[in-house]
Amino acid sequence: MNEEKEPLETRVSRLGGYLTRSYNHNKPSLLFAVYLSEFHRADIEKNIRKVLHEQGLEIVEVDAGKYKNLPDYLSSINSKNTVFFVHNVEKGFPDSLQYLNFKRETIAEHQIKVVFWVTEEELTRISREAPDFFAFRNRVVEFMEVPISDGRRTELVEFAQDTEYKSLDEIKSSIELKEKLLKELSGEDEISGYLLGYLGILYDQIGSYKKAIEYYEKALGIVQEIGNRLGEGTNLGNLGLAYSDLGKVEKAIEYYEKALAIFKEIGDRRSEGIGLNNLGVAFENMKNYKDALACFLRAKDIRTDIKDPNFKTTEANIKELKEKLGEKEFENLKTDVAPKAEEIVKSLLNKK
Amino acid sequence: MPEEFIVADNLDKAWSNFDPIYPLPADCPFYVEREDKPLNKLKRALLREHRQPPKYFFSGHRGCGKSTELNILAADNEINQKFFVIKYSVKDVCDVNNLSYIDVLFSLGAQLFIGYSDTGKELRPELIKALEDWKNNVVEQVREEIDSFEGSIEAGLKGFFISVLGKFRSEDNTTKTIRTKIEPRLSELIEQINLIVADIEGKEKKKVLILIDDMDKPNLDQAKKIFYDYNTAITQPSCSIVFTVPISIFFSQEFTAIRETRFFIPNVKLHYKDDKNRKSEKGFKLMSSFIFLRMKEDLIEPDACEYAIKMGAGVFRETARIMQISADNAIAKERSRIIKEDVVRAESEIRSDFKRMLSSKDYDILKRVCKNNEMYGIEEIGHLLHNLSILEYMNDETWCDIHPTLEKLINL
Repeated sequence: MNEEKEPLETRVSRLGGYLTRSYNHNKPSLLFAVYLSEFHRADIEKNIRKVLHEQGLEIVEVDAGKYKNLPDYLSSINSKNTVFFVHNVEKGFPDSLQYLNFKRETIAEHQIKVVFWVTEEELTRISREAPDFFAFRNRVVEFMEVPISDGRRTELVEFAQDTEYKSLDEIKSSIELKEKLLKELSGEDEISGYLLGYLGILYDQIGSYKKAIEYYEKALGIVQEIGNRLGEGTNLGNLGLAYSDLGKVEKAIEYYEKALAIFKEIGDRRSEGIGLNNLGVAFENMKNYKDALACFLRAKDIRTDIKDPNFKTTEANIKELKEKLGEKEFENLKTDVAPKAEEIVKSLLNKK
Repeated sequence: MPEEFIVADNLDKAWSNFDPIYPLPADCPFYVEREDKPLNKLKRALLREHRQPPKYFFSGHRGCGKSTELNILAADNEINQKFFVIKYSVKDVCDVNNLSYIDVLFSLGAQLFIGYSDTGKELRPELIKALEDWKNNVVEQVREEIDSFEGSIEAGLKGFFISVLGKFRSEDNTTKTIRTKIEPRLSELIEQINLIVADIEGKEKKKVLILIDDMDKPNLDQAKKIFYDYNTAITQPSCSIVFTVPISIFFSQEFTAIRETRFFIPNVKLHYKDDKNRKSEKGFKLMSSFIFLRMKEDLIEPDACEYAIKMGAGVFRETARIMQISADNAIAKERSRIIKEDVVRAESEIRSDFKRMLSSKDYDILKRVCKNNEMYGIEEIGHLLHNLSILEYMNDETWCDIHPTLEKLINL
């Protein structure tokens, strides 16, 4: 979150320096080290451990999930040259937050030197829910970079693709982290592609459709360049959704159709189901009920066929269309469309 | 405090002197007296003759020096000439996470008894007998529900008080039972307290003054209950009492009934209302002495010092923190003097900490406060006063502003 970043080695030596200085002056030290990646944390800890050992300091690892009353526990096993590294902070929540808040003086009185290794989310909760304790902090050092190596790709991809956030704040904070990560990943096209695409989704979720489109377009550029056809289809589909949210339904249809053509080509039926459902909604918005119903029926067939639980969404869309048109008109339309739904959809896609 | 108070002549020592954690003890050479001497107002009020022993409510922002000021008050000569002083932190004797007005009253009586016993003196035998009877009664009542209660209580009255406080701190169920037994006969507890007060006052030829620190630490709902709903009960003891209270309660409408009995430690004003560019020279001077009592002037460039004062917002702990981080930054760069770049980096770090605490809707409030420096409804800004993103200043009127490190954030 800091605007200007120092090199990693500087921050490592700074954390080590802070603890050593506390030791020399017999002062307590309450530090927070914020990290993004567990792998990275392990590396940093190793480096700091080395610095501290050279100064005669001993590190004691503490699992916050096991000791909720951390101030009392730390003071019971503290010695002058002990530095505590506290992990798993979230596992002690919410009880540990209360102990920390109300017993912060215990940490000061026993000259405890402690580093809380926390994620951004954990630190946010501490600052909000244990404010008196947080007010005692000496400083917060950030280790938010993500090292790239083959063993870590899966985790990175998972993080890049994570859009399951509940509140506006969580989404904003995820956007901030992903944008930061993006800056650090120049040259990492595959993960950057994911990040750009999922940033688009997050911006779409908070209603910043133009920003979402900007990200989808960038993502599209990357996936096209590296020949990721599924990614291409997904980003085209997402562009369709964003234009639809902006009320530009014709433009949305254009993108959905392009996306669908790709999903068909690569045989991704799940995505095809999604694409058809969305295209149906767009036609419905254009009051083109015939094409809408054809898309919904095809989407329902595909989704039922592959047992995609989202077939219920399509069913709901069909039901809504039925309510809109009235039963009689709907049945007439269905009788007309159902036997040739596949044909209608095919001609829609072929006309481009 | 683990070390002596010597003006630092190098950044390493300066780093140590700007430890943001400890409140200063009385007579500490690092102490700076505020221009408007807020403590003196409270002291004068206490020294005045009263028909009824007064109850005062004391508040200020987190880190503004409340505990330091209370330490000084407790050690003040004039105060000690007039009063037998008991000062304690409610956090040390009760569970502030689960605090009721009964715990507060019990702790008050207990601390008074323990504090007087610790001077080596004794209360008159008839009173000891009456207290023993009351204690036996409480033990008997609680034992009806918790068999093991009597066995877990130390012998003697002092042992009883210490044991029960220990249970308040750590045993939720026992605490509840004790409360249910004491509450219906609250007047008995208050009567015991008042008897102790009267006896001490008679023996010492002094009034009794109790300073209760950290009453601003319970969560807001509990604090509201204690200070609004049970105000009458907690102000019943017949001795002078100073309670610390949470800042948002302090400024709330419901609390105006006790307007005359509240004392506020304001933050040091660094600029004037509605005019950020008009510097308060007095405020800057005071904060400069705060810095230079702890380290030599040549350890920081003048523009860096001015910037650190500005970013410290006139709150002592915040200024200590920004100075400590700046000293650390300078040491990391192998400099022997703090330059503005070190302070700017510290500023950015503190801004990041705020970003974590603030939610989206807080930004709108901060923008408004930054623009017109007006206090809004306490319900709306109470939590922002708590986390120091909004700070209160006083001269003829009360006004507020956002923490200066946040200006860049809301102008983005």
